[in-house]
Amino acid sequence: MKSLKLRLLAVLIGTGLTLGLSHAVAQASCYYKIAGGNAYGNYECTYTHECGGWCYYSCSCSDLFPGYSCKNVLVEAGFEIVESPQC
Amino acid sequence: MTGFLTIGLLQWCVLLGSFSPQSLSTPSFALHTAQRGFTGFKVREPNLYAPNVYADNLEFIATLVDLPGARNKQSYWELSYELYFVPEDKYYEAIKRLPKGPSNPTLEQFPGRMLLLEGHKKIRRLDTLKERTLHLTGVRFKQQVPDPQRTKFAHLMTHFSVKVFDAELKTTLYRTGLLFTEPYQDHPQDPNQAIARKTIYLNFMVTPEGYLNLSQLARDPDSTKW
Repeated sequence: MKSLKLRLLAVLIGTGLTLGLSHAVAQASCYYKIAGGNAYGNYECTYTHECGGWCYYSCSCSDLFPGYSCKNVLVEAGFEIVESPQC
Repeated sequence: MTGFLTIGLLQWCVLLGSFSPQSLSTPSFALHTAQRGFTGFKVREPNLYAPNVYADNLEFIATLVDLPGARNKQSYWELSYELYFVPEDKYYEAIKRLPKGPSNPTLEQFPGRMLLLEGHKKIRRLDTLKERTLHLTGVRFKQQVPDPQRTKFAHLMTHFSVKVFDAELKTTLYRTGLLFTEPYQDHPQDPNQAIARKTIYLNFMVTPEGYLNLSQLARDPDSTKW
């Protein structure tokens, strides 16, 4: 009986911990800054909006490699370029 | 007892896994798979003197766009806010010191900032959009900035801490952070022309799932749509 109570307590604590962590991770989904550089130039992006699970950033570039654009820098950095937020 | 240890060990693994460097830097849907940049991004022209894009005064509009418990009298919204000007040289010195890739910088990482506005408000009546809007006008800007520092790529920085209790969802949501924007914005009819930014927006919305959305985009003041 004591063992059963211990197991039940462990399951309850475990469930609470898992839910708490999931909530914390979900709340911290968008970063406020993304900055860096690659072969095409440097970029610096700042958070503007979020919706539908997407984080939207406004970006500026500097030190562009001749013949390349800010779009090249951002696409290389993993950004998808869109006209405006979907929602 | 063995079962207790097993479950405990599993939870410890989950906990450690959540804070490992890899999971902190790549929480799959937040970074490379879920980041989007707007078109109209700009190439920075360092130290470009542009006093014409500095508004004499700014408006600051903070809105809790909607929440499931808007009509519940137990719901409330509490907001602390500060608006700073960061000179271009100080801003980019700070950016260079940030870790490469994604980060959540703190106020202290931007020395040389100049306070333009600060305040705190707790709102207990949230029935209407008007009641959920904090609208401040006449925030002195251009005259606060020394003339040589009126460059196009200086930044305005909003530091906020928000707490919302939604009595319908029976949950309290918190968020704090730093938002940045330039003193200029694109002309609505001619994106190649820069004009003075006159309004700083800070928008929040509690979703039915209990997530606190955040945006600094300009919005229709009469709409409760995100």
